[in-house]
Amino acid sequence: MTTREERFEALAREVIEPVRRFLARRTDADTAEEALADTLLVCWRRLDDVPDPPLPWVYGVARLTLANAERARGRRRRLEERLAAEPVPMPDPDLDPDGALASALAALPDDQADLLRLWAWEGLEPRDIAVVLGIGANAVSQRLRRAQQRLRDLMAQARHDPGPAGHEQGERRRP
Amino acid sequence: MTDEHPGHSDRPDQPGDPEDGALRDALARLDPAAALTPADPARTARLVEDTMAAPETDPTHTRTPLLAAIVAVVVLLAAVAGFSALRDDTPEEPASATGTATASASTSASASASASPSPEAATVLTLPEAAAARCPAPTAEVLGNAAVAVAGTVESITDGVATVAVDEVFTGDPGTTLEIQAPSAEFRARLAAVDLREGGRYLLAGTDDGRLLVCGFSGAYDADLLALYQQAFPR
Repeated sequence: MTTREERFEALAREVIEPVRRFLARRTDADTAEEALADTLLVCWRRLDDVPDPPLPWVYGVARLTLANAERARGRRRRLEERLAAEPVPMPDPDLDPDGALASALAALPDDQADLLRLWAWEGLEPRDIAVVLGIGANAVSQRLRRAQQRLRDLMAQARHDPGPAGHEQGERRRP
Repeated sequence: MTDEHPGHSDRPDQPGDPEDGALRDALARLDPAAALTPADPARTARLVEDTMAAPETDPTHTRTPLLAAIVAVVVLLAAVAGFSALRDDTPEEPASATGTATASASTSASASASASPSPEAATVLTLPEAAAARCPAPTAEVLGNAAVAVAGTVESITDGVATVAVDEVFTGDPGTTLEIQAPSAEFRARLAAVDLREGGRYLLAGTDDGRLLVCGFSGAYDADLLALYQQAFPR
């Protein structure tokens, strides 16, 4: 066993489970598995570039790998097929009784929703989100605040005016 | 490192606004991976093993094997054309019209005796795969089969490419510049076979399939290697 292999195994032990979750949150099981393998391959090949702590950087790799995988496999078509075939797994309805939060998150622009997911689901702070996205930490902080405010506004709006328009996305996610 | 699982209270730079904490916790409860069971350890171990079995190629070059193959083919075509030209004593023909930097790697009937390289774009030679880098004895007879043989100075080594300014041509028509390419991650090890360094002067030979001849055929410019080149390519 070489030092390089030992280093990679230590890295893999640290990142595999978080990255697996990261991918499971964002794509189907097959694509997640493929993207995990590709992400590890990038880590293996760029082992000398992996910073400490590694996880935000590896999330960034996984994010790009996933984008490539989904482009390659025709994400839109598969997503539509998936939505038609099965409901997107949703958490316990008791945790979001009126669906306002899930609806608001789904209604956000992609970049704002991405920020909030990294913040809440991966549990990352702005400085780490900055590494994932390859942008400055100050920009992340500002955008995160705007996304949080936008999310609150959408929730308030949905609760105040629970018409079909306000729940369009939520209705789709909860067939 | 930040904790993977959200909803914990010990985040070092948790925003001060308690509303943010509540919002974050509420969002965390929507985590679709919350119920995801840990991966099967045996499967994970296999994945790690499979990954380490892959070549340690730089990711920025993950798609370059195809490019390298194209480059090799282009150089091969150029070299074959050159050999044909030499054998048939026919006039010079453009090797290719692909528009790549290697497209100008044409050879001419007079090139083998030329001491003033033509002002063309760079000829590209790739360092051989480690497994293919077997070493025949460095004889003039073997070296004489090279498609390109030059003396030149390494001007730069960047991003897996060594750029060599050609100052003397023993055979072929590489133009004024020769590029030695290899995937970055492997470059240093491969270059070590020739020990290319910026500013150094070298004797370099390439095969007809666009690969740099290592194993004693290419190396620092010295009297012994020069004698081998002169024997292989008598003027």
